[in-house]
Amino acid sequence: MQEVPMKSYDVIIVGAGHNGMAAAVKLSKSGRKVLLLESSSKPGGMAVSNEIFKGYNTATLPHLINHLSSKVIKELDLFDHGLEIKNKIIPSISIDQNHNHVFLNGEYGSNVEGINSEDNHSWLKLRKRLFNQANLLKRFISNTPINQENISFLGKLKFIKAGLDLRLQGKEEFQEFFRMILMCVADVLEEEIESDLLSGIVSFDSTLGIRLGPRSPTSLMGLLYRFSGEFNGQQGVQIFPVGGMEQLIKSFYASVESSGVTTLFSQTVKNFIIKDGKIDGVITKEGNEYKSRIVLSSVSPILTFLELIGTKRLDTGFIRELKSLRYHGNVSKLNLALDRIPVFEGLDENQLSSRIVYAPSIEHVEKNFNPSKYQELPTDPNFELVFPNRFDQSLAPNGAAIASIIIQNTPYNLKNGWEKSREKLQNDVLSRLESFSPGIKKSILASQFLSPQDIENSFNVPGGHWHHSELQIDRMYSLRPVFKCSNYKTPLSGLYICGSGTHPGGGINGNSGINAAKQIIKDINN
Amino acid sequence: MTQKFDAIIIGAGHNGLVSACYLQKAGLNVLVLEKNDWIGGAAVSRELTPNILYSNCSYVCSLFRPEIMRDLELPKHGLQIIGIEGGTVFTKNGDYLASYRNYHSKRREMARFSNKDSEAYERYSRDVTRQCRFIQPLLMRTAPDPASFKLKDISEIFYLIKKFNELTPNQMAETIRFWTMSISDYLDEYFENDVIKASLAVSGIIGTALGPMSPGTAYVLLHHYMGEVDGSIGSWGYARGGMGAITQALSSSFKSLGGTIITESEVTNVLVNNNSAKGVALKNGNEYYSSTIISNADVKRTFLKLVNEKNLPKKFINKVKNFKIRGSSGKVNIGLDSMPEFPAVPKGDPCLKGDIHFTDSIERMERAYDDWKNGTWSKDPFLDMMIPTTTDPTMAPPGKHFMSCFVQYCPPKVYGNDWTEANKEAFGETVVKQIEEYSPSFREKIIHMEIRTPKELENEVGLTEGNIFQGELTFDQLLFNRPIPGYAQYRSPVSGLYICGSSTHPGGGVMGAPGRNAAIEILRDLKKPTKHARSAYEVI
Repeated sequence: MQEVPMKSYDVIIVGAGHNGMAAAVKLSKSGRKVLLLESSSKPGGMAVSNEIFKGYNTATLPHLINHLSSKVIKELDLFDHGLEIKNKIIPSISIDQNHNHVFLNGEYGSNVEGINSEDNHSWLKLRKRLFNQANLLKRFISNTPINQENISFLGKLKFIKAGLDLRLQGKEEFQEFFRMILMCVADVLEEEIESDLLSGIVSFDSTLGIRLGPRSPTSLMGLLYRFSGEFNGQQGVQIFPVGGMEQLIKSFYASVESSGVTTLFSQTVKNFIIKDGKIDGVITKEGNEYKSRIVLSSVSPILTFLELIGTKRLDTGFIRELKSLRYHGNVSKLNLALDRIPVFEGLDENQLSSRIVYAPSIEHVEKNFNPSKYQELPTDPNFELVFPNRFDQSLAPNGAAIASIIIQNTPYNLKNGWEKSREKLQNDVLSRLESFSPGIKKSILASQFLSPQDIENSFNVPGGHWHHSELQIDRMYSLRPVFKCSNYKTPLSGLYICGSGTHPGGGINGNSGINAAKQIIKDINN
Repeated sequence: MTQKFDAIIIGAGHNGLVSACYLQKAGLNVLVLEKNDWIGGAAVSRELTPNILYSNCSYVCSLFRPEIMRDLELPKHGLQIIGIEGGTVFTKNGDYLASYRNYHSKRREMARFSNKDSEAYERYSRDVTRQCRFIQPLLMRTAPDPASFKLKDISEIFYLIKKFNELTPNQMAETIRFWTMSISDYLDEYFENDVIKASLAVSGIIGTALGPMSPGTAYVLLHHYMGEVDGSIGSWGYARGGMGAITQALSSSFKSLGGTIITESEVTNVLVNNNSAKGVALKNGNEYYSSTIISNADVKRTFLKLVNEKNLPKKFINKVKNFKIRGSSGKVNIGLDSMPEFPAVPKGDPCLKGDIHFTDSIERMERAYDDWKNGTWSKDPFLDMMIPTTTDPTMAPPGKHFMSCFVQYCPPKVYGNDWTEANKEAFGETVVKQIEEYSPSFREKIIHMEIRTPKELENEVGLTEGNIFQGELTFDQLLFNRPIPGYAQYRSPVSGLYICGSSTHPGGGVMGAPGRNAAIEILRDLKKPTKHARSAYEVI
């Protein structure tokens, strides 16, 4: 690690996750002297990769991109810094115990195989409508939300304009938007679709990462959020970069380096220096002090406010609001190193280059959700599985495979405690996997399991939530993380926040970092 | 037999009667047709066992709009609402949490469970009351159609935006949040104690097919809170003489204005000619004619059963089919020989005069909902139990009592099959068993018991799936979406055919607002004066 004397900077950014890095580049390019502090030894935050077994490299947590903002790609010149996307669209498969799998090809099922023609017709109609609605929401996703500063008529003009545009598409679309927007995904699907497998995977995708079941009102929002993601003009797609998720982070970091940001690793911010009620720098656990009148924290809001600032410095009303954030994660990750390419009944080897989802019906997904309400684990968990080395062979030895599995509905707090439950959960998932791919258990060389509690410890995210806090409608847009901070500013003068806990939240998109940087630049110029 | 009227109302439920009164008052000659040999729909008092009156469907009153009470002079026609004095939640460990009308006693009792929560209650009730104040005026206004370019709709939208803009930015944010939250999450932001949370969560789930952890239940809470008794918002009362007193007073008011009610006249068909309503045909072969027909039945029953489908656009029928009406509650009505004893509570404590609950945690409520989702009635159900005769002596002879147990959750079908007698018995037994746990000698006191599953409610009162709100109170079915986008103003694709039941804005409960709002729209169409219907603000 390079030795840096105590210095002062224009802006200090806490956390070199993708949002922290995006903000660093934006600020540095605007001519500010930026210091980026990261507690671990490498950049990437929760999007890092690791070697789970010799020669097996995989993303520790998120394993696909579905939200990377084109604005961010441009701002950071990611393509010039090593990002490369080859096999653009990754199909999804809803797997079935009787091998009658349903295949969602193209942009989130623009072409579905395995359902009857009537369903196909209804699905395409529904998909078109949902894409349309997502497009409307997309207008609000990449920009700073309406906040205390611009709540005036001008701020609301955006809504009025969106409403008018929608109305111009016709009465039907307009009415359906306002009817469906807060519906539960199960009702929407049951109105149109008969296929259990198709409904199952859509339900799963709507609720993945949040604490809702498909029958919980507002769960459709999760799906619309997913559909608002795009890549190269293709909506609702998931993609995988050449070189894996690691390469994505590398391209972020390359951009950081080339823009002249000072980055220091293994520097864990312990607290902020506050002078006259204003921020004046940070102190790290390693004993270093860095001065700056502006600090941007990309770590979770809970960590930023309740631990780094502490409750004494903030007013009670604000603390109360923060404490009401629901920040306990619900998703676990299982990474497996396999000594051979697994065989799935009903799938040929090429089809393993897909996202495979085990969510056989709405009922199944709902029943999976039920125990999580009571801090219990599901008995037959739903999961999403990809084999990253199918997209890029360099990630694992020839003829071998990595399985990257996201397990839904595994609450942070368990009545029985995670120590007693982690084995059982892994076994349940593996037995289910075995039923689809006999012999897969025997081929496991090594495994890596992260419960929400493990995620909390490994990534310093209180609650171990992938999105830092629940991404439900009551905590979206202007209400994320709380209304007072929706423009990335905080009650503490000079302190800003970005990261998944702020708008637009989850997924690797980087918008929050860019928006926060813009706000800072605007405030400095004023 | 043929006869001509200015308007015909199908169903003498409270909303039908409210509509009837307002129309008759405007000078129309109105006929109300009721299929049963009694009137009142789900707001009735019936003598199911000698000398004991049962409020065997709806059982408490609060939501009924005071504006309507005054417009129609219901007190003059015998309606009297008596405020409820208290309520209680029994806990598994033999304790109880009482609540009283007196604010300070209520908070003292809460402090027995948690000091912090007792403090928080002040904040909580202030915040919820603010939400109520915001929404209350909306109840008595027809929801604007945001897709319409009519001057009336646009000006109403601007009016609502103006109202919303009167809030501070923080209040706006809180209001939006409140509307989409689950009652469980909302309470977590204020309280720590499970029993207190459970006692407050009740209003978030009653009548809906949602659990306390489902987003949207905070709004349902509001729906139950925005009523008032004697000007005190959120309080509940008994109608003296049972819930039938409300519909009896309405009927008396209607008749005094010169209206006609004919019972035992089941309408089977709305006569339509050239896309205009012409009259109704009855099961007994009679026909009555009028160019204005108003259905008090729910939207599904009206458009899928009473109107021939060739008279309706196909798209409209599909939307009606997609309207969510989900039976989620049952009712067990019990006649008692004497007042049941609850050893946990001091004898004569006024907390037994109100709603009595045995569900002492949100988790138990939510698990009860999980059973319903699985297709059966809750094995550890949530009971909203009341003994109105502790307050109203007119319903039973001295010493005897009527007990009403509202039971959640109870599906319209059991695992997809029709209810059998055995199922029904088992369902009743589940309820009695739960009460017995807290009142050991309870079973001996029972002299008569009526078990009502959604099936009974549907067959007798005509509520589809036995849903007490004539349709779920979820966002997709509120305001301008209720019942169907584009048809939220009480009109239908058939000219002259209207709906006025709880399927329409602002929704269920014995509120009367849908009936009144529908009447006003009808009078507008007929170009009649609406002056006699006071605006919400005149009364508040």
